[in-house]
Amino acid sequence: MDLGARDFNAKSELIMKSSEKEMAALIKIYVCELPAKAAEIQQAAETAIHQLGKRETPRWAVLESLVHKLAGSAGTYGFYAISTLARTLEDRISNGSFAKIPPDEQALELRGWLESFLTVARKTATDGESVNKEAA
Amino acid sequence: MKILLAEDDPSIHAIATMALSRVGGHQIVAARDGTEVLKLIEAEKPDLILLDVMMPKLDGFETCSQLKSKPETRDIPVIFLTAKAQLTEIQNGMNLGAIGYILKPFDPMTLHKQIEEVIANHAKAA
Repeated sequence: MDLGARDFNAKSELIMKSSEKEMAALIKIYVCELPAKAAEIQQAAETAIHQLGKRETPRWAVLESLVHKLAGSAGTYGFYAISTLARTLEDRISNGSFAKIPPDEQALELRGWLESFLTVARKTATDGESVNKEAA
Repeated sequence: MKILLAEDDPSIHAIATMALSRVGGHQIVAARDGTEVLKLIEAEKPDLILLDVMMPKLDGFETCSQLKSKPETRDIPVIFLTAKAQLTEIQNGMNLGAIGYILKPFDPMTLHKQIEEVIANHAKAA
């Protein structure tokens, strides 16, 4: 290996190490923000369930937009279980299959989804906190 | 390379900026929606535009359409960076003149390589 290639590789390794530290710092911030994101989604889902109970057509756009963003960001930060759950609901809303089932079933499905989502979100936030404490 | 990154989610914006600047060595200019892209484009003259699809004010598809309709911006390559993964949505983006589509979630440590691949594939096809 010539000197130029060795310098390049050493520089590349240094960049990767500092990038990994920055990445870890960004993940910590994301984990801290996760409960607020989950609360926002919970509120949007509960509003939709309430509207379904009153035979109103829920405004799905808010919930769809929130789970869409979470599907992209959670997976990018390495939280694949949350990303998959968010993507499942987003797809059900956006492809129209959710709207085709009766309101009672929609409410039941949404309640089930919300329970699974909150369980995974809380676990991720708790696990993330303990990892952060160990790292500190 | 100077990249104009249009993304309204701060979490994604932060990690993509870190990935592309620190790992990829690119210069990043930030926009939060399509209207900011159209405002910044003339002054910044980016080499590439990375566009999210679902953004407030002006979404990514409409932004791309406006960029491609103007002679001064139509040749700037556009890549969609989005969680909109359905085939019809991908086709819609490509029909608007984008050179590629990168799906969220993405791997931050290899995002710059994915971009290089899209650019290389586009150059091969041209």
